[in-house]
Amino acid sequence: MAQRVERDAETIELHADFLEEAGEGLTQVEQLLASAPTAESIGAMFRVFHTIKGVAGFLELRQAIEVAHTTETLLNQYREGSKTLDRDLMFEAVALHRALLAAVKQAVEGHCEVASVERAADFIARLQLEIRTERAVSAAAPTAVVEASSQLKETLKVDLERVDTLVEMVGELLVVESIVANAPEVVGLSAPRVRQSLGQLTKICRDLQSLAMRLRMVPLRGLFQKTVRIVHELSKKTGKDVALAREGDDIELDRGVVLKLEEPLMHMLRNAIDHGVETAAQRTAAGKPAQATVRLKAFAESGRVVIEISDDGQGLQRDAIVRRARERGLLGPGEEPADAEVWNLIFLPGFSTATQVTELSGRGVGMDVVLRNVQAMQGRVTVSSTKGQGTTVRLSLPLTLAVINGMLVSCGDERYIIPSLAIVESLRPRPTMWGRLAQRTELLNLRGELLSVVRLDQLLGTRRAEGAEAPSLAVIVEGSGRKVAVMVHDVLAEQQVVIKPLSSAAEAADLFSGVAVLADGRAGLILDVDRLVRRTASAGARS
Amino acid sequence: MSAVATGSKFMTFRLATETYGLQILQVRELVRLVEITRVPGAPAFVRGVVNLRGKVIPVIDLRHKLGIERIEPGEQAVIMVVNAASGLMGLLVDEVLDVVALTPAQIEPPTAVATGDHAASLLSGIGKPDQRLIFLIDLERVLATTPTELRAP
Repeated sequence: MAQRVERDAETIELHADFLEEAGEGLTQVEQLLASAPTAESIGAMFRVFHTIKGVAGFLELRQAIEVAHTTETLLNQYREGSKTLDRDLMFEAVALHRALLAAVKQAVEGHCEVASVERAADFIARLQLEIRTERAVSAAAPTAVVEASSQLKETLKVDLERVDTLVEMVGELLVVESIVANAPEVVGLSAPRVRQSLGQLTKICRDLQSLAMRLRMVPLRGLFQKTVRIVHELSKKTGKDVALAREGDDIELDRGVVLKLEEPLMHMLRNAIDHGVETAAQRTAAGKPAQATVRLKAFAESGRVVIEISDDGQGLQRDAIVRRARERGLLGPGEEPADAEVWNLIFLPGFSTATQVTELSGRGVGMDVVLRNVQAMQGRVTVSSTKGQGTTVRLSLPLTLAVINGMLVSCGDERYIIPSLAIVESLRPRPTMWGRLAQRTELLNLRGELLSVVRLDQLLGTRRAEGAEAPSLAVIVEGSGRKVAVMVHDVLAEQQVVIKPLSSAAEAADLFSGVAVLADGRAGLILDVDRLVRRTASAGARS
Repeated sequence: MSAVATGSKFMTFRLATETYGLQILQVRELVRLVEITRVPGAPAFVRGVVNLRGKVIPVIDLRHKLGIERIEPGEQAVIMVVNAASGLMGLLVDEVLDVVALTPAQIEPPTAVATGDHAASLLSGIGKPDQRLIFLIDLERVLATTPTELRAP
């Protein structure tokens, strides 16, 4: 059944349309499966598979035609009321369709043949068996009424590339606007009409920017809907009765952030159900409702979006984590860490892969991945847990990947941007706070906390004017869970910057996460605090 | 605008005392020297990055690429913005001269003279209009080569 997806643009577009529509349809089916089936919802599901079959037929995707056709036949029986809808089977059908779509997508992108999905034949056989089997309709016939569907807004599908170009151009406009508005010649102008128009121009530019940013924003609904299936599968697999509560479907985030959020979210749900939630028997014995609840909640908070994943399970095993940390030498024998420090231990790579500590083995596995993914998009992860009552993992994310708040610092005659999120504080240390190990390695005593010191001018080889003083302002930054003091000459201003990738020609410079255009039109490099901290730690180990 | 007619037009520029040329179609625009932001840790031939109307592009030191002594850019220095395969790039040159049309007969292949200088491998040809010499740069080869391979013999 091998087929080749031809290279011509029209065919590729047809396939792309098919993939998008079919994907949306399947998501709709999953959504419908989340609540009790009704005649309307079964009808809607039937139409989705019917459409997939039709378009697949047109594109001659034989395997997809066959699977969609069989699914449709079974759904028709459900619709006629001769059988009761089997939700597990339908979830499986959706998963198989997704696998088929993935194969088509791969074929289109790689200009190669559509790989056949192996398990399709088995599944079709199972569906056919179900179709042939006569079943008595269960007494509890579907009667639930579909909840009033959310109001439909008129939308327009636009090529993502066009949106990105627009966003980029608006970014350029803002830069030019800020150059003009800050130019000394303009600042000195006193003509009220010009001043007023300039003010208006600035305002319109800001509005335009926020509008452009919103173009890339998508609601979390799509991502959250995928969790319905995961929770369903996991509760089946573990034999635990778990209800999923969702809140904040309408909260919007940059499309890029949402895409990168999927993997961490699935990891955390798996952890919560596999290891957080107890069995029904254990729960009953502990006086809790037999059905566990995993809560997924999104809300906006001071310009960021917070996503919380909480369960009402047993909570993290504090003693086991501390014991494990002592075994691995992460904690000294006499050290008594605070709760927050204990919870942070689960983010260490491979912290709890040890099988003997089963309660936390699952908790820990992958949490380092979650942390890394979230940090990569300038986000933060915090954990809180109460024994016997559950665990909450809290992700705090920027609205968009493209814009960050940065602190502009000067070092010699150069300027660099430090992401504000990474900055803890800045101060001018008194002479007594300094120590110099072996006359070379500097340490700073900040209210009892010992910090390594990074001299930015030495690290980056910055020229220093004759007779100029050494940088004396310490910016305390935190990255990879450690703090270091970065010595700079001055902190100039905080500004919102649009992050651009550093071009391939300059990518060897691995201390920077990107580059941004500053208010005066010059390019400014953005320091990668995580790498800076890691490099300081390893340099210290060498000397 | 036929390719033949424009393909033999070259934007000429100066590096040290000599004249070099780049196919005019490859040059997108000329930018008067602006403040270049140094990128610590980048290869030595990368002078830094500049903001070109919101796009941040790297600036390549063409002198360094050819193995000519590095200098601080002077008053007449220009950044030539080129469309390279890997994206927009700026080439730092000492001074931009004029546009010169060359007929195929006025261009010798770079192998015409055995120089033994590795920099010859970065040329697409040598122009020789009216008793002058114009070294014609092969853009992609210049951008792909690291200067360490370019030690003069």
